[in-house]
Amino acid sequence: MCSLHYNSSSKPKKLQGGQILLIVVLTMVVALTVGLSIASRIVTELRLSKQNEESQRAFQAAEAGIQRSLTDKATIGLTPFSNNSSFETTFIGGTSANAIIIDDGLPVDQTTGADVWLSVYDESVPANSFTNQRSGSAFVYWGEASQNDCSSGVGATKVPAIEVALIEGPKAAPTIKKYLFDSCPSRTLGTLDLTTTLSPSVTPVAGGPSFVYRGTISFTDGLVMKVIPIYNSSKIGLVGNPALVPPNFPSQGTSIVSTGISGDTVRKVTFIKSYPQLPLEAFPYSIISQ
Amino acid sequence: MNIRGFSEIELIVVAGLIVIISGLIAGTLYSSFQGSAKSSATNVVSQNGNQALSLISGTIVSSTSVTEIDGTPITDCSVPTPPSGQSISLLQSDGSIIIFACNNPPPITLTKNEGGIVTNLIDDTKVKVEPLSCSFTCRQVDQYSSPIIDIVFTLTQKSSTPSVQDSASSNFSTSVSLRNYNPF
Repeated sequence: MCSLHYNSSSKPKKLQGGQILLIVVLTMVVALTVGLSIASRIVTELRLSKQNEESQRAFQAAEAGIQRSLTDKATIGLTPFSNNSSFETTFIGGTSANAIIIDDGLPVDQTTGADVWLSVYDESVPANSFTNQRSGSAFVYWGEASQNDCSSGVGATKVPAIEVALIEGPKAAPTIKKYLFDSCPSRTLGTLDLTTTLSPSVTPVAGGPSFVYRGTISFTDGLVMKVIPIYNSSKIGLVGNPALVPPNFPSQGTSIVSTGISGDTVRKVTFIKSYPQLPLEAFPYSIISQ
Repeated sequence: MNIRGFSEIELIVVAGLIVIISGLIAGTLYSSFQGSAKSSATNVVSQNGNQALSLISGTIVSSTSVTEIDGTPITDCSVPTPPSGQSISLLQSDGSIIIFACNNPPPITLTKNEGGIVTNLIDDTKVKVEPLSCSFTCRQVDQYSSPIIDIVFTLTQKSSTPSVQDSASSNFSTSVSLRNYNPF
């Protein structure tokens, strides 16, 4: 009888000893799960806010780079700031070429148009501009394959028509010449100049946009011309054909590409500065009624 | 019977420990909630300030010249003491004038006046401009180079119960140049 009493009293002690470990382990599992999920959420938020901060710093550094490049009119190499950001710029200005894409490939706004200088613009003394007047003939390229709707009216898919108003001749007594190109004759009244549809499309400048329409213009002692898309905005390219005299189109402006870097974030800003446009009154042209 | 139960002292000690530990946890949770209130206050101030600053910078970058500062006409900013004031008038490329001002009677806000239409650049129910903190300064190296405008202002959060946790204040300043400046 005594031995039975002893055996039944030693069992509860061992059970109690094992229980504490189990309870502690379970509590720790619950506490760690809650704690770690909160911690990971906090770490994600911190990383996002750090990326946001770096992005803002990189953008401001890129803008500062554009500023500096505009002032110095030169390419600036990697320049650091004290807030762990830096910038680097590439200045492209004063380059003349036989094949040019207007506004670095940005579509030219319809009815507003873009100026193309056929003579030299003097940035330091603008009054001395209009020297080195080009003569010859050139191809005008426009239109993309997605712009294929020939019906009248404006829209994002309409085929653009191009009007060219060209000022040429001596600086003291210039004359104006106009061209009108439209590959959809049914929607435009009046005499049109010849438009060639290019199939396959042509890429006049390597790495630049491809065009599906081409027209020919010619000028003697050209001063400046305005290219105006109608019905739709369009990218415009120009290639001297055959080569112009003196060779190449003169510089059309400057463009600055500035890259700002902060930590792992890179922000890039492009600034295109074309030469001042002549007042619209210098280019009288008829608006096509649509 | 004694072996199965717990003694009174054990219970009191365990209860005391639980009270202490839950007190610590409650303190941590409370300060994290306070932190979120503070961070949302800071967020409101910084978002308002950044938006106002980027709007003003964008307009200045595309302006052709500065016509007035604090109501006094300016021809060029290349004078020895750069003109500075609480309002600036900018001529745009289409001939219109845009005026930025922070000289309204208190509570001070940042306003944009475009053709007579005045809009608030900050949410004046939530933030206000610190008095005497706002200025527009125009600097120019010589009369042919682009003028640079320095914009400085401090925004504070407007709250009905200003407590340390809810209040937020931040300085904003930037320098922008007129990229379309035409000296002629």
